[in-house]
Amino acid sequence: MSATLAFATGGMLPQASSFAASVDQSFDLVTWFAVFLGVLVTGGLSLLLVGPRAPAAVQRRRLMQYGALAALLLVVGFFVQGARVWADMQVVPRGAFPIAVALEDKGWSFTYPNGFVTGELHLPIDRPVRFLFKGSERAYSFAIPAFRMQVPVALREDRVAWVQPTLAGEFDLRTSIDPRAETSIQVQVHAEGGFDKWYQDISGPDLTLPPIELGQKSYQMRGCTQCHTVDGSKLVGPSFKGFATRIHKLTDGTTVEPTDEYIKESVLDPQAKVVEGFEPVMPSFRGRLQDIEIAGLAAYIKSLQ
Amino acid sequence: MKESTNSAQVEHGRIALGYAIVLGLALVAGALLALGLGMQPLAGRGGGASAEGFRRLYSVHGLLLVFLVVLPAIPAVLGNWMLPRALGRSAMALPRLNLLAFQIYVVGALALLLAVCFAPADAGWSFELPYALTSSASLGWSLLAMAVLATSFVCSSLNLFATVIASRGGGRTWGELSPFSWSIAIASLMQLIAVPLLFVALVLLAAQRSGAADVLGTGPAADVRFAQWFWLFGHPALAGALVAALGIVAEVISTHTSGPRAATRVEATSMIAIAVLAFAAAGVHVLGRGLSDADAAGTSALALATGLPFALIVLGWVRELQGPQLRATPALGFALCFLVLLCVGGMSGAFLAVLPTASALRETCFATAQFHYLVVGGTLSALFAGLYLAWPRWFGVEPRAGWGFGACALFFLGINLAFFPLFVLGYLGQPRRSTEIVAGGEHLGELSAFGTALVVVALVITAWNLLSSLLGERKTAEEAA
Repeated sequence: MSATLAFATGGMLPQASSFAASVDQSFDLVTWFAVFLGVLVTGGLSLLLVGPRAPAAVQRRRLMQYGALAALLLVVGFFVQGARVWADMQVVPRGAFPIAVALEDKGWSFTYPNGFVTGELHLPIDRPVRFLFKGSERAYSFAIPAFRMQVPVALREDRVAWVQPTLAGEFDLRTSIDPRAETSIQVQVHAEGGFDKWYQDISGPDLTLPPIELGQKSYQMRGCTQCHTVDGSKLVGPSFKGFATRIHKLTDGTTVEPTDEYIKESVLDPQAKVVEGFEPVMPSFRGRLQDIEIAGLAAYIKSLQ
Repeated sequence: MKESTNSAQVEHGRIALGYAIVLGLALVAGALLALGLGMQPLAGRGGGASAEGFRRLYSVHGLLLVFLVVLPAIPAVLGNWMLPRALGRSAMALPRLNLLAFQIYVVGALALLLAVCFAPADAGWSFELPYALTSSASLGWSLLAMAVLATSFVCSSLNLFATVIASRGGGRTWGELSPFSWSIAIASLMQLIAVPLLFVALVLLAAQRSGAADVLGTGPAADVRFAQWFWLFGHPALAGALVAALGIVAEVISTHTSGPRAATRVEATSMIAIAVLAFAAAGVHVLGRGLSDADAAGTSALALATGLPFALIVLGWVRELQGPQLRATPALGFALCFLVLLCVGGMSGAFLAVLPTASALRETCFATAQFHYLVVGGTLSALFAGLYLAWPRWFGVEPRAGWGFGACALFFLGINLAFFPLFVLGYLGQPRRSTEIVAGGEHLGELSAFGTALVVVALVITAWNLLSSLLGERKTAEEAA
């Protein structure tokens, strides 16, 4: 395709996945034949209109037979080539890096194998990636034109697809099926080694750090910032500012002291004690944080004056 | 007795004229909406209609053009005018049913007009789920109008099919029928089978939307279930419109070369093959949406195979055009225009049938372009070819050839400028029905809007040229007499 449409697109659509070349091959095959046919038909018709008239129908009898045979061969060729490329796209290679994808009201959500959830899509180069699309209460499509990849995800139905990026850089990701969900972001394909570094960064803080520093890293990396501030302003949950300096009033009318135990309980079993004025909506972090990281968090939260 | 046949003869000509008038008005409205659609992405950020307004715009555009223009165009207008004559009959087999079909069509057109004005649909003409289920617009009026129009198509098709069948009583065999008669027989049979399936789809959607019954189910792939019913109607019905177009173009080409002739065996069998494949390959519209691998591969093969009968018919025409004589008229111009647009539309259909390209291109405006080449370019150029062919016999006047050629050239240029850029945009990943244009595609969008404007001008010139000829003196009739 690159060849066929390069003049029209100025090479704006790179072949950024291992599929891109073979999909473009299918594209090329049909395109070149279409161009050939277009020239043949328009050229032939023009000639017929201005050129001399054929005297008899002697030569023309064969036209039908050859034409029919050529058309049949082409159609079979299109199908076989396309089916081979497509079959390749259906089989997810072993050891592909798994990422779960969902489209929510606020946008895309990508869940990496370490449990890290983000709205950004980061991919490694030259390594197969397996997407698990979570079906939800809306149908959507997951389209990355530079990968020649478009996955329609039906209502409430999970779906798997894979791709192997072959170019580093940023590429458009968009969805098209639900007209209300015009969600366009950039996919980041990291150059060699860049993805591993990024993935390590999101995997969690360095557990050898001093407690308060470890807690601060953890607070930033584990998604606490989405609901809890450190400057006193209220989000979904209470701010951590001045946590250690006050007695906390709970929804059931009781109070609780600002201890390490209270913090640990709130991380592992958030609904056990809910601060007055807030909804019991926090997810549990049980199994996602080690004790040393929770201790660091407690130290960090108590350090906020 | 003789008088009654005469009045019946007047009847089908008048009905043809009535269809032509309503259809012409709907065509102009639909084309102006298309112009609005084309301008939309160019109106700039924040300008133009809201996303909701845009959805209404394309839905109304599609409903008007598909149900009032494309589906009835050739069978209703040209079929009513030319079919009895082509079969050597003075009247339709079922003239009252035919009149009823027209009356229902007018009621349906009015109902659709009311729906457009007071309760515009906003889920496209094909009622894409899940949007059609969750849409807050009142789709009921549009669904009702579609049901009324579908009733009209069933009545009309029944009459046309019966007329072809009955004509064989006069000693004619199938082999003696003209290509147009063949095409009308097959197209009306296709509508007779396909249109009732639209009722099923409409009832399913209405019941599910109203909450009266949980017919589409809440399980996975409810949208695919609806789409399968809808396209089992939509794919063959639109293919039927193309079959009728093939028939009239064959008629035009033969008239302009060796003279009117019977349909060749290749033409007849190809039309039958197109009809069968149209039903078999309707699943191509849900390709990549919950079909099993085997079903997907089968559908892909069937959809690709649809190209073969078309290719055979076109090859036959090319052979015919090589013949010793050729008369150049606007009718032939539009017929050749049809031939080229059919090739582009048909070939681009292959992209949407070959599995990997189909999965990359679905829901992009590549599909929009393919659809419009065949359905707009194909049906309209065939309709105009047929009108230019039939006009002198119909009204005894000859439309001016110069304007005819000019409009034909403008139409051809306009269709290509309007829709070819959409192929490129679709390849770049431009979603269809979007108010935003992908980066780098702005100029292509402008080109497309310009092409749409050219098509509108060509339509206006054609209408003016045909209608103004009626005001002139009927010279041809006197000369012919």
